[in-house]
Amino acid sequence: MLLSLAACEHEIPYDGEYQDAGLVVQSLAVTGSDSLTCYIGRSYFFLEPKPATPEALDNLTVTLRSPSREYTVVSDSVSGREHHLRLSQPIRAGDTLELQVSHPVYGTARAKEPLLPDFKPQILSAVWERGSEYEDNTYRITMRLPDYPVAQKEVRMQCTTYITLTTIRPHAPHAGEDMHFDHLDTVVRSMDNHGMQLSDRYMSELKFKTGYPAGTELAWSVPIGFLYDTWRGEEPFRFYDTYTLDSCHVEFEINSDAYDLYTASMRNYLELENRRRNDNTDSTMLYSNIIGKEESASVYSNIENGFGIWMSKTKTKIKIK
Amino acid sequence: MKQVVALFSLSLPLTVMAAPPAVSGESTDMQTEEQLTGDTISEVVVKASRPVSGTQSVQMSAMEVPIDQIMAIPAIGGEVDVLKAVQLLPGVHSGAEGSGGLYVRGGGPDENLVMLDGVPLYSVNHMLGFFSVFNADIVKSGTLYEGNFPARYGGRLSSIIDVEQKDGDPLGYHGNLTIGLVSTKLSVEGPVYWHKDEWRKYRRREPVRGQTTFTVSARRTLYDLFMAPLAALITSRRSGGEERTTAGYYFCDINAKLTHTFSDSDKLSGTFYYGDDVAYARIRQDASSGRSENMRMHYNWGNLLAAVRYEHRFDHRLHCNTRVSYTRYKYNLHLTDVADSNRENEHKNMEMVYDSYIMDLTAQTDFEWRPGSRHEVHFGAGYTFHTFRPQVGRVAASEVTDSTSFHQDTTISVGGTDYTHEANVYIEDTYTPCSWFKLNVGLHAGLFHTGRTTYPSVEPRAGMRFLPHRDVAVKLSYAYMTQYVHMLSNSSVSLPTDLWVPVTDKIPPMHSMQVALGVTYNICNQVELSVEGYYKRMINLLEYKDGASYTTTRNWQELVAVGNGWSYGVQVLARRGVGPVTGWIGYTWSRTMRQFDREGQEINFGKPFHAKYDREHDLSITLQYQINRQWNIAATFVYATGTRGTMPLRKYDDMLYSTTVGQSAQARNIYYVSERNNYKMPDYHRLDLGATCRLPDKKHAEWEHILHMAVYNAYCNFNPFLVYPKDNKLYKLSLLPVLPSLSYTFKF
Repeated sequence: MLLSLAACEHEIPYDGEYQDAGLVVQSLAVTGSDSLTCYIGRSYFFLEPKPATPEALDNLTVTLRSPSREYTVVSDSVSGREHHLRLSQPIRAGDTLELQVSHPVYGTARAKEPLLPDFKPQILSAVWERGSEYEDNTYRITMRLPDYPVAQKEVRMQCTTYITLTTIRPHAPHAGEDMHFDHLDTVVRSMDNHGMQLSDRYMSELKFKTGYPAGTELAWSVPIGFLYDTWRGEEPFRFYDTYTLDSCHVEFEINSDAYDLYTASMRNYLELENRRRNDNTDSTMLYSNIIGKEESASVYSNIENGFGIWMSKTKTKIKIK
Repeated sequence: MKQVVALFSLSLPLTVMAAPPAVSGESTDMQTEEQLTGDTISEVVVKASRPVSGTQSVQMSAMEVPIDQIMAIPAIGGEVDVLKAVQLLPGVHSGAEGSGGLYVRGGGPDENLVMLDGVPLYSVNHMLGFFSVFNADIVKSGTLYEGNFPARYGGRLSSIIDVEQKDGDPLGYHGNLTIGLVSTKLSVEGPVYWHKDEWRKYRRREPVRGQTTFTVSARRTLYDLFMAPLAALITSRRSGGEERTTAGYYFCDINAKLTHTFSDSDKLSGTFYYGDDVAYARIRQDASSGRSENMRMHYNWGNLLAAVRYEHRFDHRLHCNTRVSYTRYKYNLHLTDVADSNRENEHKNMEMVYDSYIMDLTAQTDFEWRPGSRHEVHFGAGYTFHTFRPQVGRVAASEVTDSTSFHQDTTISVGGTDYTHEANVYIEDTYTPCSWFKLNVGLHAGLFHTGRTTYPSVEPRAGMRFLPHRDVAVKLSYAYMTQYVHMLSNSSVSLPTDLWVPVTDKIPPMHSMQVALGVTYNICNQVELSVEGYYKRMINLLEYKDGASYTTTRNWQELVAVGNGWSYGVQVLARRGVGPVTGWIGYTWSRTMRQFDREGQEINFGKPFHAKYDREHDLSITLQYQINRQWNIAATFVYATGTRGTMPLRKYDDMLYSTTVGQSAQARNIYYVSERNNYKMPDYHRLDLGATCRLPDKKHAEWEHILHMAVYNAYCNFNPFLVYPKDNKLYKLSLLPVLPSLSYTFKF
């Protein structure tokens, strides 16, 4: 009985459909950019040996199409499996881009990616709110969210606020003196005028967990601190009265659905891989549905007749001042 | 939810006429004009050909498990098993090779309500599912409902399996002693005589009907009694006496039932069941270097069930059945490790205790009322207090040396203890306006309270039967079911660590709606042929998210997604219960799909995918031939489409992800999964053969010697338990090759 319960292993033929090798295409389109990097390779059947460093594919043709615009690939600089494309014009928000990669052996893989349009909120106000100390000032920007075609799901936007300030000091600074703005060093650039330019950025992430609330007012505050730190050991010089705002613009960066699906699935996949490695179980991702093993993690792909991902990011710059 | 037992009143003339034979699901009350007393006759033997009666009943999607036929079905190790026989019925898929999982019409293994004498059992498997908790020696009957659930049942989506224990023979003592390769069991039944006169009559071999009867049965595997000392001897010799390892596994069951009949109208019975699986190990090391270590591990899991039932018959129209019951499933792991070192004057002590349980206290009352000849009404109510304690562990460790001292005692509780309340009421009526039409309409209503949330449910049930011809019945049914508990499991076999958890404020109850249409044809009262189609829709099913396992320390609610499923199919059953050749042929064609597309809970990116046990074809043939009074031969053939699993069929390098997290492009090998459960395992098939020889004892006519021989998987097909790639090749792991078995039963 004991012997009969001992498991026995047998090799079996794979009786499913044989999976031909296909193209693997991965690329990220960013609006406003006239360059595009594509990572192009091939897939391997799971029972086929895969080289540690697969060779790059030759004779590839990469094209980019859009119903509303002509994007011509002006140049394709190849470095291994990386293709750096230069386009005839920058990628425009709101376009639907079809990426197509052809190979004489592995066929043609394509994918369409609808780029999100520019994000243009209505800026309602941008106000300095002075703090009690030189460190706790804020620049508060209020905007109204526009209608925007994001799906009703958790929405994330990266919002970067760039602020350029000129401070006027009662005396000319010494070379090499540091000025700190939001914990980042800035160095006096010029001693010619009676001021110095401070330029920095503040990044924040806007999250809408229950869906994008069009029409809602949204405000955020950029903390600004001034710290004049001399090497001469003098007291910090409070000059918050003596600055002017030169310019401020906000850049919104929104990822497409494909981007979010892909990165979330990859995070899940890698977390499972790490967990199995740490548990000293077989760290290959080939196991599933057996005793004590978790369900496999799937990686999102939107490539037709191939694998990989064609995704995009829309960047919109809004000038406030 | 439990059975209502009808008390029969039967007064015989020598010729029994007029009333139709009793059929499955119906009671028959026959009144005659003339009554014979016990003084007139000494014995009456009633014989009848049992008609295969599916055409008479309005019930569809239900099958009585024929206990007499089960006893001859060839089984693993010769251990006849009720649930293994249920797996051979159409519409029921088994899980992995040898497992006890039941997947009924697209439902999961936790969607079956398995009851013993009306009391639910949460874990019905021994030995990882190779055997069930039901000792066939004490089983009187078993009924499987796959659909058209009577209103008195609720709490599960996919099936009800109602197993009834024997009451005990009131006229004499009987028993079986079986010695087999898997287990040894002893069953005894008989009357309890309270008066000396009864004893005297019994000793004079006069028929005396005891008011009280009992059945007791005990079963245990004996394997470890031999293997454990052998293992100790082997390890001791190998290590030169420095190490001694004892390890073993066994399971045991005790079933008991006591029944007292006060009168024709009143009966009291008590049911008891205790079952346990135990795995143990002890490693003792006494090194000549002066270091010793003593490690003990004791792992046990099992059920405890106790119920008291009172049946009262008000009159021939109204019966009542009231029950109070307790059922508990628990598993417990106890690990200790004590190490001493003389040289370092060191003493280490570690103890780990881990346990989990689920417990129900239930009160239920059921009525059966016949207001007239055309109506049969069932109604009742019940309440259950559930206690769920998924995972609690305690770790205590201490270490003392010459220079240090350390002590830690930590209790880990994952999930806490949940107390929930469940109440139900139901009513159903079977109405027979005319001979060719029968209608059953019912309503089951329930309430489940957990945490801060109360979940009500209203579950309509309906069934119709048309009789265009006396041997042909057309049936149609609808059933809505609600389930308030889930079983979390990571594996395809039944593990003691499978967790039962209730619905919560966040996880809602599951629901199912099933419609079925069928035709039953009674062929010359010999063979019953039925064809039935069904469609079932399931809502709020649970599946683990990608990469999730409940063995992590996260709350289980974060690991599961809630979604929907659907299943449809056609079942064909040809069954014969009379004559020298009996058995059945069952075939099912079915599809079962799942879709998890709720926001934030997507599995397979929201696209539909095959359920793990989506097996398109399932064929079971079970036949027995009674050659003569002594010899019976049997064969079972099973064929099923392979189960499904997730297999990444491609691999490639991903180079983009690293750039999204601020790193330079770097290649990572990715195993690509196109969809969950995309791979179909090789088909499963096997043939079992068995033969039973019954020899009467030469000295005692009532004794019998039975030899049961069986070959499981007679042509040794290596059915896959697992399939996995390794070194660029595909392998399967098989568990059960050809298994001959032999058992001897002494029947007295």
